Amino acid sequence: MIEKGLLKKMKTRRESGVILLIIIIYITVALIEPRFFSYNAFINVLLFFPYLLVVALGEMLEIVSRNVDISLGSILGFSAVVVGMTYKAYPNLPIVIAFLIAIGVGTLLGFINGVLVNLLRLPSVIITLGTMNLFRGLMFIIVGAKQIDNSCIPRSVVCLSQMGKTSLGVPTTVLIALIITALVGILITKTKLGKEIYAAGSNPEAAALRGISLNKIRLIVFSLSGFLCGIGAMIYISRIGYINPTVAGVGLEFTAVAAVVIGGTSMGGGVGSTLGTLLGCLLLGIINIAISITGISGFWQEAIYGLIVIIAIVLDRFYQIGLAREVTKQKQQLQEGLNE
Amino acid sequence: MNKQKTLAFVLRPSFTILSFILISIIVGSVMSPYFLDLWYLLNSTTIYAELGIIALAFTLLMIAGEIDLSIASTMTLSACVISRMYEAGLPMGLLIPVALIIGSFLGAINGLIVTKTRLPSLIVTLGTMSLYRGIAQVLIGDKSVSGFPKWFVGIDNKYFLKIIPVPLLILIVFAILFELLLTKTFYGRKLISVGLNSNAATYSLVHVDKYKVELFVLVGLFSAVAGVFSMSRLHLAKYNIGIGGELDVITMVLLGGTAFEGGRGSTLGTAGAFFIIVFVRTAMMLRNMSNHAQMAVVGGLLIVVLMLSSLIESIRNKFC
Repeated sequence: MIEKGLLKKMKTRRESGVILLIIIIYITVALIEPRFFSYNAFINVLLFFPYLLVVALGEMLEIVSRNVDISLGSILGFSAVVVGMTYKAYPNLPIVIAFLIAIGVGTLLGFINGVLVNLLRLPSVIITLGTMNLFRGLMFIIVGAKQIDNSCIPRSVVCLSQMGKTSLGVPTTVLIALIITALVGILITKTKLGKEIYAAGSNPEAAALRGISLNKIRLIVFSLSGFLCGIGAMIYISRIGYINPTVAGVGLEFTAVAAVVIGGTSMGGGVGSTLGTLLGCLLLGIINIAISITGISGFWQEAIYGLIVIIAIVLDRFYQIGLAREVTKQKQQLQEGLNE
Repeated sequence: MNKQKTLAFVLRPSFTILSFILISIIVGSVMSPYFLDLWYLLNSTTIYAELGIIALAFTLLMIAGEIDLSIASTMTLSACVISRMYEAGLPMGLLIPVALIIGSFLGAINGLIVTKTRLPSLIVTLGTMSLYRGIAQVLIGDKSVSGFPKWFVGIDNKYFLKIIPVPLLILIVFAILFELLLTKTFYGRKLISVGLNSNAATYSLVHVDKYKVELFVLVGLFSAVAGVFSMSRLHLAKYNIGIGGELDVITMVLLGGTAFEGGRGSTLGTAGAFFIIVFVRTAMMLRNMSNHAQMAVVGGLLIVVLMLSSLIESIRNKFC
């Protein structure tokens, strides 16, 4: 009975599809290339996703509240460049201050996005299309289009994403990302603000009538995702070890949207979970490592990501339509029962 | 009364575009003494004419209330497919129609997904944008394909009446044709009604979905034309041509006075906005500003344009 209940619960959860997909891909690739089943490959998957995960969580908050932000990659790049330049000027900067700078810059840029969206009352995609280019262009101007070399990045930062530095056996950046996931999970499921974000996304008119300020929610969500991009920037610096303004965070927003959508967050707003986003990032990480380990050309990556996103959004749409049909059917049955 | 009339005239999109063109010319000539050279300006339009041609079809799509972010990727993919086929030995004359068919097909995919699933077109085309560019990358990797026949390359060096570059001529011709289509034909009126209120249009027996798919196909077709033009201009095909072009195209369309939510717009306005972008970019190029600084300016311009149009809208609602 309990098992049956669990199975039923699994069926209704959107995340179960992703878990199934992860298992299928994992087994298929492991059968083709046994090396994929090793500890090293697993660690590679883990190292792939921390900064993607942090950024994707911000994107998830935005999509849940019915916004899409495609400037997140530029925000991450911008914060990374600012931190890199500070390190260049003050090599002995404590790591805490570096984190604070990254977070401050990220939050500020996210806040600017939020203000613009509130001011102009236009879809956030169009506005962030503008700020995406604006931020990246400004970033080039402040850094003088030069790369910040790995000699400028202190060892202590790079160590964060290396093995064997923590007692748990996983790199610190992975731990940071997981802790942030848990915090975001608590924020959106246990707090009043979280409920308000869901309410604003699932039915803005009703939420406004309930006294939720949509402008306030938008500002908070955009600032929060900027905040998360700031943390993402530190993880990025630690993982890559140098900052090249032409590549830092380019295309990251699309990967983040992909991870979020695969994780069962509905583009219509109001639906989404941190667990789903975590699984979405894990799936993309596995595909990424699988592509390189099976020797498929890396050029396939973008096409595969794009295809998966389209399949995920279309499937999710059909799921919603099915759900709506189910509800009307139940209503009809209820009506018939009442008539009798 | 008279004051109100003047205000209404000043707030008309055509007036704002013309004043923007004037401002950009003035700013350009202040920024560089070499700017005011008609021959040079006409020649520099050829670099952006491809995006301008896409922007024309995009205007019609936006009037119908939809948007397509995959334009630059469609452009690249159709160019990459035919250059790959050219490498395999097929004649270029045959491949140009093939490119147009591929572009229309990619547009049709966008349109069908949007109309069948009722998902927002922004989201669908955000996905196809990376899918199409990804396929282009799979097809030709990071190398470039070149060695096209002599008659095919250099469309930007061919002139009509020895002064107007051919791409610019095509752009102007289509801007006028589309404007006539929008304002003078039954088809155009129906299209505007789709954008204004698609429910009302459905009840008045307008096949809204059919219209939308047709427009997506049109945008795909024009993106393929732009792809062929860019191959001809650059003498090569690469997976990253036109990357980020959607920013310029959307800026042109919105700057041209087309309403983002649909129902209002003009292709002549878009053509005017095309000149503004060309002037701004040319002036920046003459001042040796880096590509990335240009990117920041165009991104900032998009936001300023959006602010201005919302300001104008609110003034119009208040006073007129």
